[in-house]
Amino acid sequence: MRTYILRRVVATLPVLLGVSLVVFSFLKLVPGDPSHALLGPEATPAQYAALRQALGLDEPIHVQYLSWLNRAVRGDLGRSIETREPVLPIIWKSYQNSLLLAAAAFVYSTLVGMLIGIVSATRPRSAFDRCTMLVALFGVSMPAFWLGIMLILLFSVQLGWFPVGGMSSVRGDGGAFDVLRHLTLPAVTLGTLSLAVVARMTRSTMLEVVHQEYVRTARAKGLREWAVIGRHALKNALLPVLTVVALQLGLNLGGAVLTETVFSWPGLGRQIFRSISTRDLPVLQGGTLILALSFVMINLAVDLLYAVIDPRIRYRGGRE
Amino acid sequence: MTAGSVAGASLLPAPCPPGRPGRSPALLALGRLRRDRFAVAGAALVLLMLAAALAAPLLAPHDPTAINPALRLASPGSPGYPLGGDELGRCVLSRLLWGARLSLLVAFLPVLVSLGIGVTAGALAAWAGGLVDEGVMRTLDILLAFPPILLALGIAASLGPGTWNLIASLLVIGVPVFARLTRAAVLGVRARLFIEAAEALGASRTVILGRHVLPNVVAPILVYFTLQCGRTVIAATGLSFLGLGAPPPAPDWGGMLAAGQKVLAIAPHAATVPGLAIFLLTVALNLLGDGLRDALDPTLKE
Amino acid sequence: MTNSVLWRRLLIGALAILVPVGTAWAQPKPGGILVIGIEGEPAAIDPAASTSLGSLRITRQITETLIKEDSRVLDTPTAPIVPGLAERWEVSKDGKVYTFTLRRNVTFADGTPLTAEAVKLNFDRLMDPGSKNYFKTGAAATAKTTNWVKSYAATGSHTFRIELKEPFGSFHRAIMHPSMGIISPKALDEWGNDQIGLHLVGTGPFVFKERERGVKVSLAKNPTYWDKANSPYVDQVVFRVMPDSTARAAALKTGEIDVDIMVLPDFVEDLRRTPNVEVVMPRTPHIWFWRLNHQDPLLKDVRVRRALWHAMDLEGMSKALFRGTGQAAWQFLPPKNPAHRATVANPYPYNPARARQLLKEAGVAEGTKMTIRVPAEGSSYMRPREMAEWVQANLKAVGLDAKVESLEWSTWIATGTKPLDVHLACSAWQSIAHDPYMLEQLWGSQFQPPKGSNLGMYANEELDKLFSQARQTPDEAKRLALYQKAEDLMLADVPAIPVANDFSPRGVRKNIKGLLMGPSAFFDLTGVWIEK
Repeated sequence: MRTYILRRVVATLPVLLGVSLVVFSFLKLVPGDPSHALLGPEATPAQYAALRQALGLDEPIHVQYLSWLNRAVRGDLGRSIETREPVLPIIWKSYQNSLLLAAAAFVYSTLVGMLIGIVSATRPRSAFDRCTMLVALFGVSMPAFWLGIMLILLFSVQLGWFPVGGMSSVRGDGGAFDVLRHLTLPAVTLGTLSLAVVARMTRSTMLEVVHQEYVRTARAKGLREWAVIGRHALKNALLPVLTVVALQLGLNLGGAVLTETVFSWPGLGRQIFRSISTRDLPVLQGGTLILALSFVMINLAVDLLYAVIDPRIRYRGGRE
Repeated sequence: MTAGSVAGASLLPAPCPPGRPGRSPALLALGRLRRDRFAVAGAALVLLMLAAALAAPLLAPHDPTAINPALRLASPGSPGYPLGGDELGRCVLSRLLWGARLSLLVAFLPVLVSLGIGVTAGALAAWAGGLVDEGVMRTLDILLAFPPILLALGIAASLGPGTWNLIASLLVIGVPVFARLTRAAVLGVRARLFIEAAEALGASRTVILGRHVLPNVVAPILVYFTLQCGRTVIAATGLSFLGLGAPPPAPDWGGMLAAGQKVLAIAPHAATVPGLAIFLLTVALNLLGDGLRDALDPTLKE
Repeated sequence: MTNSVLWRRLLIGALAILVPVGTAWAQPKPGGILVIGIEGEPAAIDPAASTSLGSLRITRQITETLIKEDSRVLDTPTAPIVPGLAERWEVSKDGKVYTFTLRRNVTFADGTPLTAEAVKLNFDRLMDPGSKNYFKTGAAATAKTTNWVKSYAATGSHTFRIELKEPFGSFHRAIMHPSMGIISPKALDEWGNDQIGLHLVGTGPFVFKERERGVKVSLAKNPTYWDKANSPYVDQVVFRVMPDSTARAAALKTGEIDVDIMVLPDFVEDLRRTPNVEVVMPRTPHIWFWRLNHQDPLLKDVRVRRALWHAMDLEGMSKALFRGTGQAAWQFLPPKNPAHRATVANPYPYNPARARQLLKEAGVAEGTKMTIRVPAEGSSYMRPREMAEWVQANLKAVGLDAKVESLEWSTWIATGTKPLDVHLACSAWQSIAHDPYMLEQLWGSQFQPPKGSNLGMYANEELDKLFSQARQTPDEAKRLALYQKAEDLMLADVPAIPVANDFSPRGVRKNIKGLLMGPSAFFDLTGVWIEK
């Protein structure tokens, strides 16, 4: 087990290196560089060239990459070209903000989603089932930003129950409750897609499992319904659902850029998007690496959880 | 990623139970699909949109790019503009019909291409094994380390607005899962074949297994393809929202939604009409995908 | 009439007069937090770190320049130029030496006094590679101004002298640019170029409080601000980053932000109907025009260029697309530029028939292909895609097949580093539009790339002569007249096609008083107070 974990951790290093290489080449291949973003469109070509030179962008490509790498492995992710702030604190802060949003969406979507899925599975084809599955279907079919804007127009502008955007109120100290108020609409927006996915997945795996032999045996043995569901069906349905839930968490962590834009949530997705627009390579590198690391960690955690829940799965140093 | 392997595993149907008459599993699946009313509805809706897209030159009352300031934000039901006018006074219905072409193209083409690339890569990795397998898997790992929307965004943001740029950015998303599904299925089938052969069973068993190879590989891929098309529609809409969709003056549902969203307060139809279209397309694709998944998994008892 | 009725009437009459008068004379109430919603993340809060308007609007509240624009005068043909940190300045007869007399008793927010030496150290930062705090990025960003300077020196404790390489009549406008804001040398020494963006110290009405990336930049009132008559009322100003324009407009409606700095034309109607909000249009000098590629054989004939102008229905476009937030332009110098003339008529009004005729005369075949390039978006660019679509339709109507190329922002800016390679590319200028010298910067032949932004590679000897003369004339009136003559020449030869002026609509909540936004790209927050 321990060697497995170690082997997996070691295997992530080439992946991270690969990610950084891809990001670097990508930003270099694309037209435009930070001098353009910093000076804006009303500068002369001579100014852009001078700034390029000042920022060290005229050095040979491999020199640029290697000097970045050299510092990165020592923990120095450099400074943002746009604002000259150190990259690590910026990335870390936005990451935490994204984590908060993703976690809120996760709690909302997993709890409500699984609940709906389980109840629907126990009453297949009932009005409840059809209704909730329809809503879930709508949930996966709606673009997140559209839902977000609708929610803003209804709950913020019309009703005034929730603020329009941001993570906390700028007028004075809000505290935890203030953040919670700001968190609600974006978490619901982000979580709706996940909720729908989790609900559908839970329902379908529960249905599969509920018809399996051992469940019928358990029923035949005379166990009560909730015991059947809880102890036998759920445990075995858990595995695929867990995978999906973890996958959703990972997706929401990095993929919330649209929700973050609509709600002005200062998350990592928006940060990364902006760094692409401004060609701010250090920030882009830092951001994608931390996301890549998160994905890898989430995958590892899920695989380990598998081993705990289902000891039948064997490890052969790699997937499959 | 484990998701792919587990999803693949759960989608792999169990071998045919003994004693069943030898009816083709594909026909059985088709039968189940036909009885699923929702899936049929989904398929019908998609076909309807396809038909509308193809018939756009005949059905559209106006030139979708004809600007007419007098009819700016005209309400639905205005003379000549059944679904109203957009912010430049163009006929929303015409743009909707012509936009169907672009939206359907963006829905299917990237996924089709990523299917091609992914299946080839996955099969190659599974068949060749060894270093090739390792190489492909590592590359997929790197691709999967990026959040899909950011991957698409990065590519689209740097290539700039443009239909083909949009398609290029979206096709990268689907490749890893197609590759993994294919690889899992092929490996699974190979393993089973090997085991069965090693146990020296009769040729008839192998033939039966052979009959199951194709559905084993095709089933999860078909399901994923349909569902991924739905996801691609949403992703494309998101990219249009961020300004990275089709260039002017091409009608594009995502672009119409993004532009209409700005005038939501004074002319809701400009956004709700394309929004509804996008929504219905995605719903249809999801219904179809769900139906396929249910139909192709014979262990699911009704 | 009985006594009581008379008294009652007198009382009502008195109240009727006094109450409105009283509220009109309402005293500004100090205190409160002013929240301004901005559309993009600012760069480092350092005047020399970037030339983007977004960052400079913030740094201008913290650091000041020797001369400045008074952006609070509303009904004026051009924003007046007033003393800043220099209480007066003299220009030598030959126009090459500027002597600034600095105000006395001005201190930076950290207590250090403002001296000529402090100003010199700021210039060292931008111009002297050997100096301790030399800032390469700043040198590039401020090159447009510093390239004129031959030498500078502190000639007294409060006198600063700049000698130019050659006479430059618009130098006072160049030195006015917020990127030339004076930073406290003590802060520069302490924090260095990398960190000054988080610890900026200047002489301005506000001080830097904090910055949260992706969220906001907060400024606090400067209690030791030297201009007591114009000290700010509000305690804090928070620039809140809200990238989505719909969300920003919604936040303005709910009161989460007090000012929305960029309101899209489509939101203006809705905001006007909202009870607590009003839409303000400062009409900052701004010009949106089509660059023409003079190296392309199609555009070499002036008849073709005139035909293109005739083909464009700019009034119609303005009505359809701007909804009162902008207007069609037919002059190169925008309104509120000191050399702008309201009396000039459109030399090539919308006339597709005439356009066709001219094209035929010039031998342009029907269906000739063209490419138009615009950015997908951009803060000074109004509605680039729709405007391109409109012109595309106009061109189609006169037999020209135009394709629209829409570029991502940074990619778009990158095309500004070399000569044009398409027929038409749009361009929008705001930062220099207050200075008629911009005509030379955009169309003088010495300003072809890489030195300058004449990307169309336009060259006109006669025009260059006028530009040269105007540039070197110290007398303002004469200079303006020369630029006007130059513009007449340009209107005849069509080096580019002016399209529109943006009024820069901004949304302000009605309880925000004293926010006077005159025709300047920048705004002053010192008179602002919040009515509860």
